[in-house]
Amino acid sequence: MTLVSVNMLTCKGHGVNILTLSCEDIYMHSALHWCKLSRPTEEGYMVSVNTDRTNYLSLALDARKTIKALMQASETGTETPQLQGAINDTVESLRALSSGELLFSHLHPQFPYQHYEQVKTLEEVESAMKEKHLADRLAELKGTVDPAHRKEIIKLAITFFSALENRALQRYNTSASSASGR
Amino acid sequence: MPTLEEQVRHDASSLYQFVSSITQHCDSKNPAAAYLSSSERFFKYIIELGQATKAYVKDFPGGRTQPPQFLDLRDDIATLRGSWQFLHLFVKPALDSDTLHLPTSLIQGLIERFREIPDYADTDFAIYHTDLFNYLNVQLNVFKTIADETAALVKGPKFPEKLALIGIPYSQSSSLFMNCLIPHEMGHHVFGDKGLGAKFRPVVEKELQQLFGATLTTLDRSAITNLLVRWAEELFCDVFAVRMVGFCYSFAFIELFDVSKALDETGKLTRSAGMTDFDEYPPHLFRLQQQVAILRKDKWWDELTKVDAHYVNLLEEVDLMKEADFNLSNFGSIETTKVKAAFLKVVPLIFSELDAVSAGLESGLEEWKSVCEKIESYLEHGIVPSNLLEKRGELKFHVPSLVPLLNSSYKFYVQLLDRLLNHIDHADVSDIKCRSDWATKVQMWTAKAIEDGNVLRTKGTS
Repeated sequence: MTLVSVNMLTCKGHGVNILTLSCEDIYMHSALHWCKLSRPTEEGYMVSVNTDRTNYLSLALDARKTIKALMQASETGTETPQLQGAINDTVESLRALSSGELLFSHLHPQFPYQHYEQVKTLEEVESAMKEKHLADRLAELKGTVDPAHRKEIIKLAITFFSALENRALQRYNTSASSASGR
Repeated sequence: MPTLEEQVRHDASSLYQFVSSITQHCDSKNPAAAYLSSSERFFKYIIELGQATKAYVKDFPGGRTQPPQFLDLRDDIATLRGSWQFLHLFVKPALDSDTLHLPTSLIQGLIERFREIPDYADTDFAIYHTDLFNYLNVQLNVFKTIADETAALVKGPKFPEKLALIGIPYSQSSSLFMNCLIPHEMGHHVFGDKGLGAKFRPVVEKELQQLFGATLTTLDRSAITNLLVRWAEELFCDVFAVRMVGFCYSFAFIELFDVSKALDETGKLTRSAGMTDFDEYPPHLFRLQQQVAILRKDKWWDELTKVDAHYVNLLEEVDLMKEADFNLSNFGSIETTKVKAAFLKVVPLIFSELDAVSAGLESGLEEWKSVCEKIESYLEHGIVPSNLLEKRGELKFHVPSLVPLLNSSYKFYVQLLDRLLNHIDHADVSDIKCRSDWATKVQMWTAKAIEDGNVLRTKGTS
């Protein structure tokens, strides 16, 4: 079989990520910290991605904080610098995901999408939302927009970050891998 | 169906119960047990965060009247439960780790040694037990972020500054040599604290982009980047540990992983098949090779090569290995030569970062050179090497520091245990149990010497 590109696949059963070529049969043992395919692909090659569920919890907490800041911005009409930073990080990460550009080049210590689990969750939520030009629409919060449009963008942002929080929390709760450090 | 307010009230009550079930263990801990001060700080924090969390949900409805407000609280509750599940992991293991169940003197000595690094003069470590036979570090930048964001939701206290957590196997509380691996975990703390992951990620990612071009998506690239940074972190922690305590770390590493099985009957490295692949971690042999590089840089190597022991023989053989001897497996159709090239690009950065973070830390080599023989002589005669007589006939003593003690004792155990056994009536050098029993005593005597040194240094007397 000729294989052209490498895809990141997600096991629907356990939500653990595996880097491999496109393959039909993926099974994982949910109790293993280091997740392996129990049935290799025909070619027998793959890279397992070690998942640390703590990264999901961090992402959920970050999303929660951003949602609260968005709700506050909706009431007060102004965004805090922290909120602006969170929106900016998200916009830049979404753009890097779609363009293939560097993701970590503007990394700062509080960057919420440092780990693979976080990047993957971000990508999945964006795909699931089916919102075209999500990054561009979120980026509008950085500029001057009329109040009605601003309210609409904040509503979209809350929906997005809520989905991110829910997915991250679900992954945290169901992921079998250790959170106890390394 | 209950109203939304009633539903959320139930959820709040459920969380209250859950948090109480965790904090009550700290509230009612065994009064007879003594803990390190770092552990006490940890328990105090858990109790205070628990009180804040319970107060937050107990305040229900607290001025909330609208459905969005109740739904927001419900989301808070879900996230808080996740956070408390995370904290739950550490409470019981930390409570189990009272001073009778920890290598307390060694830990205190290691913490003091760690504090000799100027940036970490007031850092503390709380130790907890783990069921795994592995040493673990809870990255403070991760743990503290989670704890502080949880606290922010409930207006609770921030996690204490400069308090890190390390897990050790529950069975190793009286072991000395195996616990020479603890500095590796301290290295993880430094790696996180100095933001080295955030430093290395852009370097690796850029290198991958240059090598692979558009054949890797951003997501794939991020996955490989994270893996390579994880490898870099492990190497950093290894070389950090060697810099902190010397070759005893490498000896413990070889012993823990039985790496000497790679040697054949002539002492050559011909049995290393299957031991040279990078996987979740770099292969042990590669890790040892990097440790040798630091031993050489810190001038331990010239002394170590004089030691007639198979661990040293292994290190010498590993030192001769070439980059081409190591492979990357499990990468599918991804060109492993490129992945390896990207990784090797970051390796020199590990060493430069190590030099930067450990600037000002004296190696302990010179003291070791001056006291090693004497410590070995004490151990050979079953004497605790706390106070080394400087000159026969004069009551002048030298109290050896941690690094000379650990390295002399480990060297003695690996190389010269027979000498001790030859002094013992009915001891049989070929009897495994006998060797094991006396090796345990060597560790106990050394631990006692470390404890005595800790006390004397605390008192400020030499």
